Amino acid sequence: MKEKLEKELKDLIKKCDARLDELEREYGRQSGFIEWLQFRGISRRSFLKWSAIMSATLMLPPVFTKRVARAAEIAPRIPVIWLHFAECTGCTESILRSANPTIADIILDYLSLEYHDTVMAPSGEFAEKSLYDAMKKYKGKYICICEGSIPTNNNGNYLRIGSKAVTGLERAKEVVKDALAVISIGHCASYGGPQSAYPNPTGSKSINEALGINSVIIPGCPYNSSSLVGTVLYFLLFGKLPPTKGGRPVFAYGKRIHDTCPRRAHFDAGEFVRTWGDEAAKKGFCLYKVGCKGPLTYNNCNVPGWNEDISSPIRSGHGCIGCSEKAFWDKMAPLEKPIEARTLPGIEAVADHVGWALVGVAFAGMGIHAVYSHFKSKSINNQGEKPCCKNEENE
Amino acid sequence: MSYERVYRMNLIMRINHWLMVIAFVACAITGFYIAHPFLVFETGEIIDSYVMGYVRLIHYLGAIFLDVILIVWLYLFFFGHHAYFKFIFPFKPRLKEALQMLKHYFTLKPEDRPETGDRMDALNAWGFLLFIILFKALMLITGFAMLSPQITSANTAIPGGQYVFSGIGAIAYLLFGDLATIRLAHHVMAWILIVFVIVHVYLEVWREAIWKEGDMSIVFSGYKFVRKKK
Ligand code: SF4
Repeated sequence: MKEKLEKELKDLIKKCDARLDELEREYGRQSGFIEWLQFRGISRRSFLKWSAIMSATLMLPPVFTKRVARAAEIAPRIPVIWLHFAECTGCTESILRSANPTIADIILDYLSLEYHDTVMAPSGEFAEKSLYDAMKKYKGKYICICEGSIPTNNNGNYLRIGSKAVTGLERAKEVVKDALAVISIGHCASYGGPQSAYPNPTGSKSINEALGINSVIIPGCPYNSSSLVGTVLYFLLFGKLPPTKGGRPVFAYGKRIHDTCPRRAHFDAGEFVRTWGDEAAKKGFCLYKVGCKGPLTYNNCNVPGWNEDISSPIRSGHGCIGCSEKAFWDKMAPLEKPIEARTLPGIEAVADHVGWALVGVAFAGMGIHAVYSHFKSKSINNQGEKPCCKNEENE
Repeated sequence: MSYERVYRMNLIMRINHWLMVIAFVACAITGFYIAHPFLVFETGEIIDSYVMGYVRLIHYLGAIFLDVILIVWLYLFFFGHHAYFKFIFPFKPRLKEALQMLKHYFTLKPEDRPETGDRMDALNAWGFLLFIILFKALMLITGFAMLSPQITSANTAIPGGQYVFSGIGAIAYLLFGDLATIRLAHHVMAWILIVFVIVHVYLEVWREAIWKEGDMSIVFSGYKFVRKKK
């Protein structure tokens, strides 16, 4: 068993090295990436540390640290076309605007963004042109990253983009067609986002649903940059997108928030925050009673953490809102109350109220039936019969 | 007037019934605690208390009991002392019998009461089948779906146990879609089961009081009495 695993690992390493060599030949060794990092205040040492964290995040053994670092140096060379559809641009903003950008952010910043609606010099016609140029130049080679959902009602007229005012649907189809790989990031692109919440007047759909493709989805509102960079690194290392479950990469979405939560011990101990800012909140107790949806949510916020492990939503004191789960606006709401407070679909009532009402109805019905039975059996008795049995002789 | 003593439930069925009662009550109480943790122990030292942990343990133990009971019940359904399926099939006459029994609950007329002799009447059998099987099986499936994320090869005693949980849980995902809805369904079904239990107890007491044939003692001694016909 052990030998088999060792052999597998060796094969994997060999394959990975061969692939990195090939990539380097194709794109050339990235020059200046380390200097660029240093310019942004990141030493080589912290870059290597980050590589180790990243390989752990990808569930790879430590021998991959060097290779992850190498892949990270190649990453900015991969042509990327980054599209925006119906969304708040929060996913891009959360990376661009970080005061202390993490290495993952910098890599995303520094990606060879051939086209990115938010950060590009040209505008109007010229922006359009640069998109088509990039698509032609890197046909079949670029990675398409999609952000935002696609409105489909009314022929997709709810979203029109660019100087030619094409609909989002047309734009997406066009660009995705020639892409090497498609990655949908953020809740909107993955599952439709808030605009697809009930009643969804624009008919917004996720990228996969709208186009009928099978892209890797990285949900979250916003997504964690380490998950996206992890996916890209995985792609560089092994030449394929990471294994997924329900479309989400297993390395990032394989476990629930609840399973890796730093407050979990308080959950098991039965120690809960009851209102914001109470004594229990100061002690860092579990947030289950103030609406934490960690038990229902698959994500890795607690493991690599956010912004290079500075914090994560639960660590900072607010419960999980389940932003990486499908239709969380509908299914996890109200976000700051326990999931019990969710109304039952169709009847707009809370399960417990319905339950108590059912019990009440049952008791009322039974009471009425009991009283009824009492008088009815008396009257039957008076007629000289018994309610119990047929053809009985009155002895 | 003379009575005949008829054997209705054998030992296995009675043990099954009472174990079900204990496990059900345990699961209901602990389930409500898990949904609304009403006891809050704020020692601040997690080493001192393990309330939720124990409560969940009891919930799982109760659930495992209920699952085993469900399997025994299914066995008894076909091969029991009084095989249940005989109370349900042939379909048509039994359905008529059930409707007649329903009518009897309201008219209380002796001629409406179907002749069942020493077996269970069809209405009861239908009710048990519907609720115990449907809801308990659904409870099992949804419960497994909620448990499966925390079951890995590292913490299951049965080799391959994680696949049992995730495999059975997958059915729940097919039925309800996502974990939040599965959890809600589990909660709603718990209420339906509770209402069912209340109505069941009432109806048995009602039979005892109105028929005066010792229906309540079926579940203790296994016997009841039926009046001999002329
Ligand atoms: S804070 Fe949320 S995720 Fe953490 S233990 Fe409590 S319920 Fe679970």
